[in-house]
Amino acid sequence: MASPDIYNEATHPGPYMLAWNKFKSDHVSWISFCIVLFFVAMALFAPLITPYHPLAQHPQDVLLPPSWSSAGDVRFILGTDDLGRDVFSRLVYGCQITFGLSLLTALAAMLVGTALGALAGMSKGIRASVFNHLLDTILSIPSLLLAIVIVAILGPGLPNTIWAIFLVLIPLFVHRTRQAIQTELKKEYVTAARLDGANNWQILFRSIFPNIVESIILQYTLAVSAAMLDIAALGFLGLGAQQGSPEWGAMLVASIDLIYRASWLTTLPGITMFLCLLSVNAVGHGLRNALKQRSE
Amino acid sequence: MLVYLIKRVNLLVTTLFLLSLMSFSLGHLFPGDSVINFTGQQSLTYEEYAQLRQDLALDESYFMQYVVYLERVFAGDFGLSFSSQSEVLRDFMRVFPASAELSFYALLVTCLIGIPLGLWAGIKRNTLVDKVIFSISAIANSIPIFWLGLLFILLFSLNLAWLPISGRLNLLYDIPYETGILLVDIALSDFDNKWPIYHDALRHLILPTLTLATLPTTLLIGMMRSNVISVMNSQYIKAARTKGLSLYQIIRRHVLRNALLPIIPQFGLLFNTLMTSTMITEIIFSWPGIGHWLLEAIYQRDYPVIQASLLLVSSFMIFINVLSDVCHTMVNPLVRKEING
Repeated sequence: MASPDIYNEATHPGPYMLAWNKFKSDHVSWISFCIVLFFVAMALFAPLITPYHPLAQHPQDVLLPPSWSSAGDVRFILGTDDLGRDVFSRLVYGCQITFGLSLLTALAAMLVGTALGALAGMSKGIRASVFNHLLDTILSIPSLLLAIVIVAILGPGLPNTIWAIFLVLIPLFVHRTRQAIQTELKKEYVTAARLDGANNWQILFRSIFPNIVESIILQYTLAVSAAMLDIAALGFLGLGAQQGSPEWGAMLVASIDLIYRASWLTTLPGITMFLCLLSVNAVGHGLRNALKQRSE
Repeated sequence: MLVYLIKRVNLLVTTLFLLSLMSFSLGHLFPGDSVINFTGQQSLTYEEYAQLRQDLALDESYFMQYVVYLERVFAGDFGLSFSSQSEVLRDFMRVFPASAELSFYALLVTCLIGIPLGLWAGIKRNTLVDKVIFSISAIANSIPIFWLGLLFILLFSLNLAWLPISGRLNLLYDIPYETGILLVDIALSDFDNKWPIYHDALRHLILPTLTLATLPTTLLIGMMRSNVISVMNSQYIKAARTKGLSLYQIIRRHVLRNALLPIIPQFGLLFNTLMTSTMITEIIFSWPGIGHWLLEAIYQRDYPVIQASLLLVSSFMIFINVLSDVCHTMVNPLVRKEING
C-alpha cells in the first residue's frame, strides 16, 4: 500500500501502547484517570495547597457553613468543624492519608503478593496444593473481618490498620498472579520457549511476565479501592485513624454527633471519598475493557 | 461426583482446621494471661487458677493445648465474656437472629431488584436502558456504605422525618424475646392490636435494609448482566429464535434459567460482602446484631468474644461458600460433566 508519508517509518504500536491507546480513546476512563491524577497531586502537594494546618483551631470561627451559604466566610471555603478546623485543609490532608496511604499499601502488597504468586504459580505437586488450601482459607474470610481481627490483636491505630490492610491485600495478588501464570503456562509460546531450552526463571521473566503485567495492574486498581474502603471503614468504626485525625472515615464518624447542626461535615468528606473511589473504579473498569478489546 | 464431594469436604475440613488453629493461637497472642483469655473468668483465687490451668493443659505442649481447645469448642464452651460474664455462645445465639433477619431481608431486596434489572440490561445490551442501569450500578458500587447510611439518615430521618433513625422497634412496644426474629416474635406475642407494631417494625427495617442491600445489588446486576449477555450469544438461543419462539418465551424458558445458574457459585462472594456490610450497617443504625456485638467486644478488649466470634462467623461463611459450590455442581450438568470427564 502506497503511503504519502515516505520520510518517516511506519510505526506499529507495541502491545502496551495498544492497550494505552484503547484506554485513552474511552472518554469516561480518561476523565477518571485525570481525576485520579488530580487526587494524587492533592496528596503530594497537600502542604502547598492548604491554607491552614489540618489540626489548627480557630476558636472564633466554629461551625461555619461552606462559603457559598450566606452565613459562610470566604476564609474557610468549605466551612469549619466544631473545633474551628478548616474542612478544606482537612479534606486535602485526608486525601494524603486515605488515598495516598492506600496507594502505597497496595503497591507494597502488590510487590510481595506478585512474588509469592509467581512462586506458587511455578511450583507443582504438594507444595502447590498446600499453598492453595492456605490461600482458599484466607480468601474465604472477608477482608474487613480479617482486618478487624488483626487490628484487634495489634490494637487500634492508623499504623496497625495499614499493616492489617497490607496483610489482607497480599492474598488477592497471590491469587491473581498464580491464576494468570497457570493460564499462560498452558499456552503454546511457553512450550516453544521450553523447547528452546529456557529454564523456569527465563520462562517466568522473559515470556510470562510481560504478558501478565496488565492483569496485575488491573488487580492493583481493585486493591487501591479496597484499601481505601477498608481504611475509611476502620476509621469510621474507631479502630483505625483516631478521632481528630483528618482521615475521611474518622471525619465522617465525628460528624454523626453534629448531623443535626452541621450536615456539611457529613456530606463533604463523603462526596470527596465517593468521587475518589468512583474514579479509581472507573479506571479499573476502563483498563479491563481495554485489555479485553486487545485480546479480542 | 463422589471424588468431587470428597475434595470439597476436604477443603472445608482443612479450612476449618486452619481457622481453629488461628483462633487457638489468638488466645496466646492477645495481651494478658492465656488462662483468662481462654476462659474469660477474671476474679480467680489461686487454687481455681491452678485448676483451670491444669484443665486447659496450659503447662503441656501446644499440641495438647490445641486438643483441649478443640474439645471445648465441640462442647460449645467458648468461655465467658469479660464484660457481661455470661457464656459467649449464649450471647452469640442471642444476637445472631437479629443479624440473620436483617441480612435475609437485604438478600431478598437484592434478588428482587438485582435479577430483573440485570436481566433487562443484558437483553437490551448497548441500548440506553443498559447504559443507564449499568452506570447507576457502577456509581452505586462506589458509594462507601457508611456514608450511604448517614445520607439516608440525613435525608429520610432528619430532613423529611419519614423514618426512624435507629433501633429495631419503638420503645413503647415491649415484645418478649422468643426467637430473636422480630417479625416472628411479634406474631408469637399476645398483644391485641398487632398492626401498629408490625407497621413500626417495618418502618425501622426500611433504612438498614436498603443501606445493606445496595452493594450486593450492584454486584448482582453486574453478574446477571454478563451472564445474560453470554447466554444470549449462545447457539441454542439462536436455534430457539429460528424455531420462532417469541422473545418472552426465550427469556422465560432459556435465558433466565441458564443465566441464574452461574450465579450460584458466586453467591458465596455476595454473601461475604453482605456480612461485611452488615457489621457497618449495624453500627450506623444501632441494630443489636453480630457486628454490633463484635465491635463492642473490640472496644472493650473482650478477648473471649473476639476469639469466638471470629471462629463462628468465618466458619459460617466458609460453610456457605462450600455449600453454594456443591449446590452448583448438583444443579448444573455441564459442570458435572467437566468433573466426571
